[in-house]
Amino acid sequence: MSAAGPTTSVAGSTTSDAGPAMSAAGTTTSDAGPMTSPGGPTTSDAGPMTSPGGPTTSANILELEGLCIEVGAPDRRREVVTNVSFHVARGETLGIVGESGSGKTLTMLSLLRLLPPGAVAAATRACFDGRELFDLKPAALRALCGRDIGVVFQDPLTALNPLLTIGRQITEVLRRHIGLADGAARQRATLLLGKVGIPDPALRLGQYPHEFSGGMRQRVTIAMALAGEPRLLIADEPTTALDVTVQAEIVSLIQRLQREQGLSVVWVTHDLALLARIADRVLVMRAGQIVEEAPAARLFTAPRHPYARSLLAAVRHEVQPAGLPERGAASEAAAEPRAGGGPGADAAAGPGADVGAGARGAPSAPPGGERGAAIEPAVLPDADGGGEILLQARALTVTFQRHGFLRGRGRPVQALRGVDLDIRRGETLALVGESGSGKSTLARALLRNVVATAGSVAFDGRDITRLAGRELRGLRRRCQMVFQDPFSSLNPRRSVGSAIAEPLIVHGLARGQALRDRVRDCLTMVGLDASVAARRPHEFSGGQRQRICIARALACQPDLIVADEALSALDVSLQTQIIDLFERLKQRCALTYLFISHDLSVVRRISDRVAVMYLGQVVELAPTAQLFADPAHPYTAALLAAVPVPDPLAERKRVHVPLRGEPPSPANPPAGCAFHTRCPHALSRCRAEAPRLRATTPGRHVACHLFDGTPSLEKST
Amino acid sequence: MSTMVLRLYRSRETRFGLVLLSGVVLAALAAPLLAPFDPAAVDPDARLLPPGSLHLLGTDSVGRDILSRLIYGGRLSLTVGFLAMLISALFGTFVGCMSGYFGGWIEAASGWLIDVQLSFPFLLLAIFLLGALGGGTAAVVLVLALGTWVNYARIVRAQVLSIKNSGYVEAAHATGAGVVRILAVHILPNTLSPICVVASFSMAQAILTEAGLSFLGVGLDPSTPSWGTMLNDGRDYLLSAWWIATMPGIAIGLTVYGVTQLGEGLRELLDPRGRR
Repeated sequence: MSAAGPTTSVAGSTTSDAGPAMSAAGTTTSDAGPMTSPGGPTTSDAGPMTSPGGPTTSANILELEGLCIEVGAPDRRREVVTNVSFHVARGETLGIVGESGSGKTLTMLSLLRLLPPGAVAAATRACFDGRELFDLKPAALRALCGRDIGVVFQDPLTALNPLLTIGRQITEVLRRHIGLADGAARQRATLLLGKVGIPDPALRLGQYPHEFSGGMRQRVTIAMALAGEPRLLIADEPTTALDVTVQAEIVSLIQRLQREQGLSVVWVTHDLALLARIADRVLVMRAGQIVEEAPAARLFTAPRHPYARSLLAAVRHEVQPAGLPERGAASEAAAEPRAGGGPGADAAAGPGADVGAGARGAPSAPPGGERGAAIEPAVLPDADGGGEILLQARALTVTFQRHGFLRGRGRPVQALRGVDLDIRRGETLALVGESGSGKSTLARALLRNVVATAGSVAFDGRDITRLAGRELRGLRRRCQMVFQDPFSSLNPRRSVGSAIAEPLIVHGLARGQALRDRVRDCLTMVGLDASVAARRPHEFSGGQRQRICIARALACQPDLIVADEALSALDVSLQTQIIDLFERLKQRCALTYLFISHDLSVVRRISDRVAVMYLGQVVELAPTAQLFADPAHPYTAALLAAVPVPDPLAERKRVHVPLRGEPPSPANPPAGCAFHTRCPHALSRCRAEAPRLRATTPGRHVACHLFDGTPSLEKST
Repeated sequence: MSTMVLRLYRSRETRFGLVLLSGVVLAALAAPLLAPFDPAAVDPDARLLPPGSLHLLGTDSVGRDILSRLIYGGRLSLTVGFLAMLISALFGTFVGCMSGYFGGWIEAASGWLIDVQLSFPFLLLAIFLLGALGGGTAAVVLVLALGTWVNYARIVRAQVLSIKNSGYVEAAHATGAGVVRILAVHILPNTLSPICVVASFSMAQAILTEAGLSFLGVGLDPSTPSWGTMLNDGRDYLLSAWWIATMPGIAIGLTVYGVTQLGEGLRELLDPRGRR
């Protein structure tokens, strides 16, 4: 029902500002209403758009027909967007989803003539509010952008000029597009900042972009996009660079603004689950074409195109239908059914996948019957605390001192503040937390890439905190890493084979024919052809490169592999394949994984246990299924609540309570419990006394005063 | 190796530079065979002859054949330029590498050294040093190297700073590779492209500076022919006998052009992404 709200308010707000458009908007309301309401009876897809009674031309703010975009040198042009047609109704949110290279961003950029050099767009019709966009003179288009069409880009860091104050950048838009005088523009800018939820707007106007956090910066760019009172907002992956709790806030903000101002929104994203919450209608793009267009309610329940189905399956953590062709990865094997991974993998990852959705009462949650039974085997072995401990951290503390010659000593950044953690042999432990929570520092400190300021680390029963020289290099052989960015973590000058051979050479494990054989083995183990060893990294796609990085990590047969955001740079369908690869290798090579990720859906699929970090501390440690079904720590609960669920009905039922305020600076963590500044349940005790990580129920550890008493307290939350 | 030359041959500019430079080098190597006259032979009857059929490029104030002196002079100029480039490249790259990778006091010290040198007019420094060292080919090479090592150090340091934080260096650390291996295998090869560009410029600069120093009379021994000393010889006759200074000037210009084109070609060649 909440979706009916925005459509009705369209008419209201339109009435106040545009005369001629008013009557059109009035009629729109009546036939757009039933269409966008998700609770209403299922409408046929194409029906409302071509409804005979409605004046379709003026009902839509944007209409695009037959858009084609070509790139490349004049002699070998290549079509990257083919015959794309869609429309955006007034007050509607259209979601465009697709993986990288699907042409979704190019499509939107072409409308504003922001295509990169060499790309040429042509369309039979590109009509914004009755005006043909492609016919406009450059000056007229510039006037339109920023006034009638607002744009929010992915990276709020690069979208703002670091040398100008926020106030200057917003007032520029106001002066240019609305012709406000300086004083009036400043007043308006203050108003706008307040509207996008920035506290102390008058004060913040005089500040520079670097004084804002990522989320706040994105609010500023939204304020700038809204400065000209646009009727259409194009948001190109506006939350992709942000943490999940911040993403939830930005989504709420845009939804609120849309309600208040009757905006139409085109939301371009790679995250299908996110669209469940915001979109009225969804376009699925693949390889430059629209493969499916459907109201959100229908797309998420009954997608028709196989690609849309596979995308949905991937975000729902289901097994991907085998045999789907993967883009740019001909040699990559189709995803193996998870059940084939052996009993261990089944118990670990299978149940974890669905429990979260089930707990939220999603009606469409897949196989519900098995759920209860499947959880047990995964939880119990962990609950006993069984298993040999491979890596153990005690009170691990890392502090970075900022130096400056004349600036004196800055306040030290407390990246890790007393972390206790055990990693058991053969398990997959996930480390989750938002940016700045210290999860990467923890991984580096555990592997001794960073020296601990205090506390200790033991690997396989041996203290490695002060290890140096030859012994440290011996440790490196047994712990390997896979990094986030497959594009930068391979030396572009060296062949793939020599990258994989490097650890073997460094540790003197093999040479000559044995070395070449081992490299071939590793390549085949990760599903690549052994003949690619002589090629260089730039000849491979992102997914293949990540396989190469995994092969490199496997080369010297380590005990532990630390994957630092190893899946974050990959598209959803590739993620599924790489997760399967990780699972297979774990069985085959008797590996233990420490899996660092900010992406909770990935964590849910791969890990046995999850450690949640906040501001340099582990606040909760629990078996995956338990954690997702029933988060104990308030921060974990907030984190989980911020993750979008790929189901519009469930999404609309959820209550979105964003976390208050901003994460505190690690240079100046709050006294007591670090989370008390944002915690909805904070007690007076939380301000004074820091809670320790302690066992509540078997296998679960929580650092929160709410759980200090009896373990049974957990049930009441 | 042959495929490298073949690839260099693909671009027209590089091909031109390559042909030009190898022509100059071969001529210098085969000087005794090519030169029509003895470069030191004085002929009082043939003073200040303009370019003509006997002396193709004319003669200088004491009647020496300019073409012969140019061919012989190339030996010294190219040697001095190449050696100065090599020494400054090695030293500058080493300093840049160390200061970029290790930081700390090494970086502070080398930064201070660079700043001091840059704040000093180089020509003044060169004249002073050559005066103190007493001239000679080795001294000239050292002074010329001193003039350009700063460029390498600064560029290499900036490159190392960014490469040091790249994913593959971190990955190499994680596999357990030592500092030497990381520097030699992962960092240095990736700084080659800019080094190549700087090298081509610095060789050109060294040849020109040598000419300048000789022109000022503090460079090489005036009796040995070099393009710079020839320029110097022609100084007094710029209006009456223009060919004395112009011919070595053209030779320097062509060589410098050849070197820079070759450097540009090498830079493209060394970038693996450009290969097909």
